[in-house]
Amino acid sequence: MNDSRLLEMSRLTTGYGKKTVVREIDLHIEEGDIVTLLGSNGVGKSTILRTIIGQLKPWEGQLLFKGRDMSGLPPYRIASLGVGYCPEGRLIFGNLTVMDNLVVGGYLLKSKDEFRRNLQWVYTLFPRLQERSRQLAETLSGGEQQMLAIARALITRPRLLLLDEPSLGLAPIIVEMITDTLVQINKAGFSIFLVEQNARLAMEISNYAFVMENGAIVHQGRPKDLLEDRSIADIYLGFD
Amino acid sequence: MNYFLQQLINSLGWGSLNAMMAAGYTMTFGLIGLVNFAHGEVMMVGAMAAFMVTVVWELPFWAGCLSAIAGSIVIGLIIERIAFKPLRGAGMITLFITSLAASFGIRTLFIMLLTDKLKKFPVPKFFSGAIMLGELIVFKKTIVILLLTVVIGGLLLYFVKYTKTGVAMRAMSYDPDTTNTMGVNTERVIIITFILSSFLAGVAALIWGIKFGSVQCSMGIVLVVNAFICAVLGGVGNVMGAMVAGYLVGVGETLFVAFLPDTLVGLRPLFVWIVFFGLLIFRPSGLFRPNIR
Repeated sequence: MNDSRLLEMSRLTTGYGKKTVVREIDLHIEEGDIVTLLGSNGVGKSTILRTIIGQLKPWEGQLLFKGRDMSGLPPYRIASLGVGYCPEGRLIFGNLTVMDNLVVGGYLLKSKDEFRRNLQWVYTLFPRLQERSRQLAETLSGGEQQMLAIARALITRPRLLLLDEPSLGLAPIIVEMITDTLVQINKAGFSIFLVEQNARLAMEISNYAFVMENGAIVHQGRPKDLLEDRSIADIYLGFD
Repeated sequence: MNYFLQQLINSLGWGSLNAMMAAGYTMTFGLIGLVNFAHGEVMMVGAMAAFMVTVVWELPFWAGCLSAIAGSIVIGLIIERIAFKPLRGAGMITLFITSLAASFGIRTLFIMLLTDKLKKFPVPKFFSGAIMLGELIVFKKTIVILLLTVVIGGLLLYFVKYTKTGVAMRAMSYDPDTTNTMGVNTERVIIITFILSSFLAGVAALIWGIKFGSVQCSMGIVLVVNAFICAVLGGVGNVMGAMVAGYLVGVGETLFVAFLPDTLVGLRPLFVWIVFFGLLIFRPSGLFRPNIR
């Protein structure tokens, strides 16, 4: 059993209702990496993230986390195994304060001391959140909400952090700041699985990339190698 | 002036009852969008349990109190398992209809078994009598009821605001799916909420018994409508709002009747509906911030 791979997805097929959205997906994440999933809108990237976190059940295929079969587990069980999730559109709890959002994020932590320590760490990554800790989350700006969503997913120090389109709808300067923070987080030892439409950004920080089209993986490799292949770079990544 | 103050004092018992029922009502309303018509029956079963234990089996009063709480929690969980859990994720209207069915079913069953006749509720001598505040009469039972409501209300508010589970409940009112991905077992939180809500109904059953000295199988209908209106008035899912609204409505209703001419006393139920339509016209989201998406 190869459990050196943090996440291993083999021949995974799933969808919504009767509609198959992704088919025969093979992908993997090594511990310590930043891995990116690229592709245009509607191609199935979010579906894959939602399957990893357990909101969708695989119809066929296998999903292993640290060598352990995850298919069929409910999201709260998968979270307890060490997966943090930052959904598309942020989805912060608007009716709660910044602090309460983080309390929910840290629900799995056993002791108050551990929560406080992790909270301090998260505040050093995102000092703006500490300033606004008593504010209602729905009154935060888009960038601040994104920071909160990431902080909320990070506060349990998960082995694997899932991020669904963190740059969506944000000003470039904020995106840059968040990207730098992601690199910082990864250097601290956290593995990241990133779904992004902003290919340029994703390629800059990733160790490995998967490219999707029509519900299947069509290319994969290290960003350097993918960019050198002109056909891929032109069509999928929009580079000249 | 004295008349007004006296009526105000008299209304505190009814206000506490409304507040207690509204608090339990708003918890499940905010959490899963459930307009629970059967909440009145949860209270009634608690009252009947207390009646059986103290009057029929002649056990002491504290045993009656425990059985009221236990009875309400048991029936609350039974209703949840049978009527609501199979419809998890269904819309508000579906849940409301099923709660109507549960309400009718339980009420009819109990009337068949126990008849709808008034049943005496034994109140310890300690609660009877009154003290004088100048020219105003304050019944001891009113003080007991008020204290009970304020203490339990305070504990409840602390729970909802400061404990992990309370925060998780409020997060679930807003977005249950995302809450689940944070490691929260949402099914378990739902059960805890129903237990709390039923506990509050059980306390309400005791308050009713102490205040009126008697209970009956149809007692559930009276307060459910008020509970619903108070929950909306206070902001759906907002426990503090519901309790404040409960007192406003309870006190308001009593004062309304107190100042009506004798022939119009039958118009009492009109008060809550005036409040409700006023609310919908001027401030539909409620007096305080709701806890729902």
